[in-house]
Amino acid sequence: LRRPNTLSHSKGSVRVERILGIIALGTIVAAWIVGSVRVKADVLPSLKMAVPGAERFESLGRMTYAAWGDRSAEVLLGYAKIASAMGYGGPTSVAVATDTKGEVIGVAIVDYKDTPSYFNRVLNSDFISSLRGKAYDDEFVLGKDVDAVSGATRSSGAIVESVRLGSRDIAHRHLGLDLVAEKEARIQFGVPEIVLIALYALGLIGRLKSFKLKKLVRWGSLLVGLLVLGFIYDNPLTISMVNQVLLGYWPQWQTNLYWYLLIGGIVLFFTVEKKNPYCNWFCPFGAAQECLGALGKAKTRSPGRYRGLLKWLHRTLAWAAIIIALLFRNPGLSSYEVFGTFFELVGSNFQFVLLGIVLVTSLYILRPWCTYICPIRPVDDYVRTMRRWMRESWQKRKTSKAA
Amino acid sequence: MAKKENKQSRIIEIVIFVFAIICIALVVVDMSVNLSRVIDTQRNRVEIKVGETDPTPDSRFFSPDFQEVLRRGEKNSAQE
Repeated sequence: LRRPNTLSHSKGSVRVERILGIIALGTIVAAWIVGSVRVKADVLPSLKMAVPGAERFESLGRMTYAAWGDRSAEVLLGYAKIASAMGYGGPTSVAVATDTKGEVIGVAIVDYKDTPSYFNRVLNSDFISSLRGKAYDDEFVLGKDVDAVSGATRSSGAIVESVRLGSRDIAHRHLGLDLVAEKEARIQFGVPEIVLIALYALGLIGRLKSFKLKKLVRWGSLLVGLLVLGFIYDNPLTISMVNQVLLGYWPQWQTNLYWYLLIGGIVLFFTVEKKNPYCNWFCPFGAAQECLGALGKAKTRSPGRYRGLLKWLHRTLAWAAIIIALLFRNPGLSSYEVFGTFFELVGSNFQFVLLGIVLVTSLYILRPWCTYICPIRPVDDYVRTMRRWMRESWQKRKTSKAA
Repeated sequence: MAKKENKQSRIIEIVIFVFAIICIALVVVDMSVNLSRVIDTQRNRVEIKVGETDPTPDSRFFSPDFQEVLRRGEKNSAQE
């Protein structure tokens, strides 16, 4: 695919790009530091929500509190603990309260890092109240003894895991109850992981210069990506994943192998093959746009004199999304992609309007989302620019040393 | 003919520009709404600094009740 919004690389524009690249890097580092200092989480209001009848909370250390039903601390209602587990965008913290027998009496969300439109599904359902009455020794298996919220499985899973860990900790440390030993996490390797590896392999073959069926293989790869990674599993690459990497919110590898394969695979191909194996080969939303483009006979159209302006607006938008995520230490907060809106019909009204405009435009312009809005392309451009600069500097140094 | 093509490409340029600006505006509005929600819910909070196991109280939370809660907590820790 051609890049209609890429300016010709004159010496002046290259210098500007490099200077702005350094500034962007500096601001990202600064945002990371500021975010780590100013991180906050709601504790007391959440404790009150978890145990509404409590008049007093007594800190017992390790983020655990005794909940008293009266001010003179005579009636013990139970214990509350702030527990966390990894959600879609990062750790989800909940206040879990149990009675003196280890039965869950209340759950309240303290903090979450998932995309708001997904997490709101959980908040608007009766999922949290369905956890009341569970015992500390229950299995808390999603889909077995707890029903996940459709379209927000990862967010539901993080809440359930937090409640399980919190209630177990209370039972063990404060109620003196015996616990069943923790099972070791099982490696989850299924259809999405297999498909992902197959798509990487397909792309590797398809990009070979001598390969004659490149067009056919690319379409096959796009359609599989659209169907499997898009419609069935809704797991495309998002800026939220990039933010997760930057923030260090790396999920447990055994249960998130897909995440590691997607990020790791892209980094590997980018380093070894110097090509982006994802966007043009199996990005599900890119595939959806190309399918619409094929229907409407869309072409790569040039924005002419607006090319430079649109390119820098695009880059500024991606930069802002990363900065916001780092400042608030919330990878999903600034994730503005419409992938979930398209594949799962989850999103805000603005996202639905945006999706409608993008889909209609895709009939006439090839991949308009990727070219002008998607935050992944500026990240790709940035890595290429910096890599080229480093390589040039290294080669210059090498030749000057040789001379 | 050339004039017609020139006019057509101008129209395309404007269509692309309008498309991109509307989309970016929608993204900015959506992001602002999410951000304002987060900022709203972060008001009147108890701070937790990274790496700490217990909350450090914000001065806004120093109501007599809350101070008592903390005192009791300290007393309890000392007993441990």
